[in-house]
Amino acid sequence: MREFIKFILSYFRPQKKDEKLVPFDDNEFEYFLTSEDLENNRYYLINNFLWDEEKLQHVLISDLTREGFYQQQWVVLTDQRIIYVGDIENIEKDSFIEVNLEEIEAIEVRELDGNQIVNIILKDRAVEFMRASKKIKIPLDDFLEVFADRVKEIKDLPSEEDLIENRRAVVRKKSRVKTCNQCGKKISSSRRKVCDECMEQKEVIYRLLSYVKPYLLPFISGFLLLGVTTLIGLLPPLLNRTLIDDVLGPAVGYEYEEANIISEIFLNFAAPGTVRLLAIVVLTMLSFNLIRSALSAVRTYIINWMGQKVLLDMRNQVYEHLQKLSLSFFNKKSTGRVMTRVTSDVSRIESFLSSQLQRVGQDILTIVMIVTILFLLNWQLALIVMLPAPLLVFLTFYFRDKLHRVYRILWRRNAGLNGILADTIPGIEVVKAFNQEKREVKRFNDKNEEVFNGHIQSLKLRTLYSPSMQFLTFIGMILIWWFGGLRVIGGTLTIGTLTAFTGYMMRFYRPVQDLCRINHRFQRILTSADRVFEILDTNPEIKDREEAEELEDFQGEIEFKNITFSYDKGVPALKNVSFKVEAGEIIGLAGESGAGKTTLINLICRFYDPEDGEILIDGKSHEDIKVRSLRKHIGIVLQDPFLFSGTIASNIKYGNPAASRKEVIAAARAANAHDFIMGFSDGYESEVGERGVRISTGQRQRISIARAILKDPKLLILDEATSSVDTRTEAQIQEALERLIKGRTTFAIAHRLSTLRNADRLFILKEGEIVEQGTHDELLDKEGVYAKLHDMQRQMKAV
Amino acid sequence: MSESELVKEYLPLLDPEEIKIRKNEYNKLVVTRNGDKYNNVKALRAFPFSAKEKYILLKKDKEQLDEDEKEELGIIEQLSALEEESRRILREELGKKYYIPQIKKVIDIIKRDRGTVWYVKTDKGSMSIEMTRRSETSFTSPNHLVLKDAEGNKYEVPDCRKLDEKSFKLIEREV
Repeated sequence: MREFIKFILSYFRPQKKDEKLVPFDDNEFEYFLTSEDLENNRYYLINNFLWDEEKLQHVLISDLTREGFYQQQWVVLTDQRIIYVGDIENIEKDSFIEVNLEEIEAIEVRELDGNQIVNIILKDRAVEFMRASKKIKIPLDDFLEVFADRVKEIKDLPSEEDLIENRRAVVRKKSRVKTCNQCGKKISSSRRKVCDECMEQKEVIYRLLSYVKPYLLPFISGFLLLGVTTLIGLLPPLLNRTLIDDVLGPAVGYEYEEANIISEIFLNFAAPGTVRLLAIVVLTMLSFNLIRSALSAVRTYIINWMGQKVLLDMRNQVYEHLQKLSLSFFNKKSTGRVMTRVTSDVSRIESFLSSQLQRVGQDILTIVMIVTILFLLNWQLALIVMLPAPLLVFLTFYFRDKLHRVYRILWRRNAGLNGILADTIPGIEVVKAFNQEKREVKRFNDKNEEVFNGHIQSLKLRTLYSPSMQFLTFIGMILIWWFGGLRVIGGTLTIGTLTAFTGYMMRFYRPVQDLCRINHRFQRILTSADRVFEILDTNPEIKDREEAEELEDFQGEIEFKNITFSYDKGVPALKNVSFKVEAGEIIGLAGESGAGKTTLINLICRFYDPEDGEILIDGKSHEDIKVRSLRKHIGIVLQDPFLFSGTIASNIKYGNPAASRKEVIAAARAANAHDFIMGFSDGYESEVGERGVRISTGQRQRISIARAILKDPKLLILDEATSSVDTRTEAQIQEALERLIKGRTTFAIAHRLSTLRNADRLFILKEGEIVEQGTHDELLDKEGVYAKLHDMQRQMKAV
Repeated sequence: MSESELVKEYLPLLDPEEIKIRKNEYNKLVVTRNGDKYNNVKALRAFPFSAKEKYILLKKDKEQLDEDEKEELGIIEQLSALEEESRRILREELGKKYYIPQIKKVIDIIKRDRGTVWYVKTDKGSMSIEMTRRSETSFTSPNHLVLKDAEGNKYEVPDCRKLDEKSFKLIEREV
């Protein structure tokens, strides 16, 4: 019950934003404490339970109680003990565990879903010591390292000895420990160079502006022009005043009393109330407007030129970086999302830099200038004009928040609607086969109605917003007419000044409203920028070491030494796999799906790096060889080969663009593709892709075999098709493959019995391990996993 | 396998000296190779746009094939290497098989409700090309444009950069 109340209370405790683990150097130890604890000095409470001679080594703040409640927990390592304290201010028996380091035999870390449990193993029992969410994985790992070292030290064990069980899951490769480029803190997500805190708004904006740097001149001149045009744009009401007070007024007998600088300038040229003065004023208006239009045009051009230039740079940079990124990045992100980052997110940034930023500048400038002018004209009236402004600001903020919320809901509902379409239209066969049309229609109708309701809600808000804004502006107007009117009647204000006032007022409220909305726009830009920068900050996981060499004369020898690998931490895809393949050997890989065949191949191609173990290529460690030079020697024929849009010839030449026409034809003939290619009316220059000729899977496979033949790799990866093609095609593909394989080290994920029989050796994989090895006949005699697979396939064939 | 070995092994080219091409009374190609005579031979280009006189494939008449006999007679690497009469006949035949007028000038491209109409001057005279949604335009190499209209007629611009400026602009707008 107590825990429960605590749990509930934790929700009401104000959450501090910076509740992240920060290292704190105190010369002797490194603590991992929240900044709150540092402020409160709560860590001195540790002294309450330390023995006299005991020395503090390390402190870890964990986030889960052993029952799994989300709460601050303390784990304290001293030179003699390791102590777990549930509540540091109120030490109780059930939340206080201490273990003498001398008694410890091993430390077991259980990687579980969403949390991890540390068991301490003693001679005769195990203690379930602590529990933590994956949020603090990195600090926990660091802590455990120190912990294990200390235990070894106290028990006088050699430092190589591994005390931590399940270590593979715990210990990251050294290179993966990352620190923020800017602040040096440890980063929990290994994808970034910069930590979250450093990605704060200011930084993002600063970084965005750095893209403008090469175009500083156009950028600044754009701003200067903006200032000038804004200033000129604010002159007309003042000219109106002169027009009324000095030209029209005197002409109809209205006496002006106030003198002002602008009028004085004009009166130097002509007498009040004359046609000559009228002409001068009107011409001044005209020329100002002309200058302003011209300058605006220049500004628009300069700024948009700069924007497009930034867009060009950024898009190229992002795309280039994308191509460098390792496959693992693409596996984790959906294609669509990555594509939008290159297209719409980047162009949103462009529009921010070229138009929105300028707009903000313009708004601020306009407001400042109008306020100045108004106060110079008549400060009392100016105050009255400002009167509705606070209410205007408040209302805009209020509506903006509400609208924003409604829009978000609406956006989600729209996405839901699209989701239904994306589901059911491609799956229409299933819908029809299972007679679910009615249900699908109902589901769609319901969602559609939700969208409608959302729109109505936003409509209500919007219809409320603009009239109330108009009304507020109108109130300002009324106030001006009333108080200004009184002054005009009283003779303390000229009609011209009053007109100028009303003119400025109309121009004053719009920028105020705009500025209120800017924050929301800013947020959107920041998200976009964040997404783009995430790509740019992701380091390619597979990178050449500096001392890596070119792989010049590759023989085709591959050796795996105790390779372990997992895509997701904790779920190994390959476990301790070792083998050696001689140059020219043909290896068949067989096993159920998910057994690790593709993973093995991904590692050979170095799309990923193994977590543990070493891959030797011609006896050299794969890390000492440049990735590009390795891939130069690898040819791949996949199950469902990908053809790029373009001609057949260009697809065959993809791996070797310099190949001659002669070689293209020869490769196609060797791949048994020539005949069907010549069957197309455009021969080798037939277009493939969406609008081109129809190419069947069997034909695609042969084109990709030709591609591989032309590349002439030393190492060949085959992923045989599971889908069956007709026997004739099958025979042709088989023949082509045999030609391709000749003289190359080959790894084939094989399904066809014939390929399996031809292989020099078969590796049978099961759950990430090679369970059987040998030739086809040897394995059949063994009557193991392979024999079973083989039987099954034969039976299938018989059917 | 080095590239030249690949070519040697898989691309047996016909020796132009051995080949003689004539026409028979039915206006069909007759190829004589080392004394063997083949009637009704078909000639195909491997690269109909970028290499019109290279890699010409000769195919035997399907109906006269023995069992297990290959349909392909062979590939002529260079049309110009043939003796004069053969060259003339093959060139003429290919010109019939591949009727692809070369666009020399684009006069105008006009929008119609179902697509566009191109008014062009070609090496075969002035013509209009109706491009609808089922037609396609494609670049077989960066500047080599091929148009296929809905009926299956083909037209080409061998090098867009060599067109006059107006034609180039019209094409740029459309493709």
